[in-house]
Amino acid sequence: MFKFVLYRFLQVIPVLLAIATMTFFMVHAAPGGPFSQERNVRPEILEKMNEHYGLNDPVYVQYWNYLVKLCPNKFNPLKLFVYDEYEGRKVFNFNLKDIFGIDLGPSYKYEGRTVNGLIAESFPVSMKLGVVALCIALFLGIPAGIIASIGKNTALDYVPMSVAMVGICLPTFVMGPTLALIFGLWLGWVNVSGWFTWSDIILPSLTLGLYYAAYVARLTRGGMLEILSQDFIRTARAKGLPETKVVFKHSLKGGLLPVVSFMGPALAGMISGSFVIETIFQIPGLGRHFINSAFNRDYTMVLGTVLFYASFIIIMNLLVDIVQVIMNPKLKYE
Amino acid sequence: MPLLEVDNLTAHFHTRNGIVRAVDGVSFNLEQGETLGIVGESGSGKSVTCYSMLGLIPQPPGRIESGTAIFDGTDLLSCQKEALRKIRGKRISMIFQDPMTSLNPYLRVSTQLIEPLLIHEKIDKKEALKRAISALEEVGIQDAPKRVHFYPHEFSGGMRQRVMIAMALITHPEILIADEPSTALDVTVQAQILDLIKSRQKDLGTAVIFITHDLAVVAGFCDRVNVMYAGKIVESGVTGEIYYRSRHPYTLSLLKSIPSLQKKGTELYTIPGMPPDLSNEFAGCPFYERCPVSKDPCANTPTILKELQPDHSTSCLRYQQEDPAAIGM
Repeated sequence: MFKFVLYRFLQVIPVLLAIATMTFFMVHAAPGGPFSQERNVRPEILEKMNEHYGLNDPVYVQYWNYLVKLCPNKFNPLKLFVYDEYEGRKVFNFNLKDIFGIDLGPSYKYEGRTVNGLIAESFPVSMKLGVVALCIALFLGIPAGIIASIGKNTALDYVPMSVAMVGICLPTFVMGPTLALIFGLWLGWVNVSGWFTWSDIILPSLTLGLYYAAYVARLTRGGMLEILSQDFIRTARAKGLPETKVVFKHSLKGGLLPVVSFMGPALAGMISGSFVIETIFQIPGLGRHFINSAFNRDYTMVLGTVLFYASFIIIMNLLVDIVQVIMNPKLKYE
Repeated sequence: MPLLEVDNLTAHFHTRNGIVRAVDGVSFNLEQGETLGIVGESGSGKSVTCYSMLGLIPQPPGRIESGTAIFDGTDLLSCQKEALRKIRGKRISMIFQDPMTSLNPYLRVSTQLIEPLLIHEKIDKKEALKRAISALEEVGIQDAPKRVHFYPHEFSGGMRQRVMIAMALITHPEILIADEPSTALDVTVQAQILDLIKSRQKDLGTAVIFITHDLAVVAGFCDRVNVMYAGKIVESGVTGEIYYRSRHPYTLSLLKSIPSLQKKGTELYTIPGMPPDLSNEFAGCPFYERCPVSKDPCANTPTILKELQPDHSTSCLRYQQEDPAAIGM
């Protein structure tokens, strides 16, 4: 187990290096630069700015400098909890430099801000949203899928599966405004958008969660139907097991395997934020930095968010693999 | 009084292509401690007969149309689901054809072995595990205290079938239904498994219903035999009678088809044609079209199982009316 995790961890390094390289050259190949959108800048000033950020160097020099900076050093986990004067107590400070010793460099667009700082500020928001959405997806999707598989080809199957189909087909940019319209404007229960009170999390997490719940429900149903038709389920029934035990003890472990495989990328997608949802509901999350940084040619920010997202997917997939080995005894750590 | 009395059991499957009459008016008795063979080719209704008794056919599409199966005063076919569940796995248990797929790959053997005990008997886990280990030892699995915690995929096919047998017999049932328990195994292992069932049967006094398509296995194993064809019992009797004085052309053809009983070098005997489509109703004998000695009345006279002598019945119209020597099969 330990060997397996270590081995997989070592695999992360070349993967991230490849991603960093490809992204680096792709953003640098795009026309324009971080400051080409600035108006009324005199050429000498532009030159000075490029000089300051090292953008006049040849691309391979920039690339090398970036990689050197990216190498983990001087991490300091003790600094993770800092005294907040406003709160009057120690609070958790999410900073990649302190945790892993990784410095993603300064942002070109937001003057005086670092990419680390921007991620530290926006990621917790996205994560909060993602975790709530995840709970919605699992607590709605799995039971719906189980019920549908037990009542196969009856109303218990058709109703949840039709709803799930609608959920999959309905894009979040339709679902989100609809929810905001009903619960925000007409009923007035929650704010239409913004990120101020605890109730502001409800609509965006519902929008995100329902979409994934639909997928989870369909995958659960498929997995359960596959297992319920196996010979060993007949054996379980022949032993006189009550139907609840047949479903929960004998079928669930195998039936949920497809959901677990799906959860890896889904988790990364949910937790690292969604551009559409964050834009609709005006949430200061990480998702919008993905898109905006690319538009702004904010080189370090693009690389930072991409690397962050990539590491997240890798970690989630590793978690999924571990969970799969726990659930399916035929698999072994390699 | 017989242990199990099945009368006129009829189970149909309602499919899109019509009603499939998988089991059509089957009646038989099972005495305490005896071994009853049910023989027939694939699709003849042998398995469905037993699954119906235990409520294991999926409903829908399956439906038990009529009949009774009296076991210890309870009709298995019409009793409450809960009552049937208490009998299933406790007093009547079952082993299946393919040991590779009949055990749950996601659960440890120990978990699966003690399950029947935990459901049907008031027993704590520790005690149940002890019995599971001794049950494994009784079916000849060495190093049982360690191996009981293995997963099914860590056993070979023959071993898994031993585990299945241990699991089925752990509650000391009165009836064991063995659905082709040796079909998926190779011949040496087959013999071991059959011997094992036989010896466990002797120890526990269990009655066995043995479903198979292998006439040779039946000959050495069963006290009485029911031969099934197209959802009906066509001949029934004590094993010796069926083999040496068979009174049905289907049984006779089957016996003729056993390769080792035929002359070497000649073409093997086969029954012409295919088993009939069970979604059509038969006016007469279902074997009519393939029968080498059929006569006109066979086509539209409904067949009934008639006793020729105690312990031997046939549904063949000709054997019921004529002298066997005159039919000349």
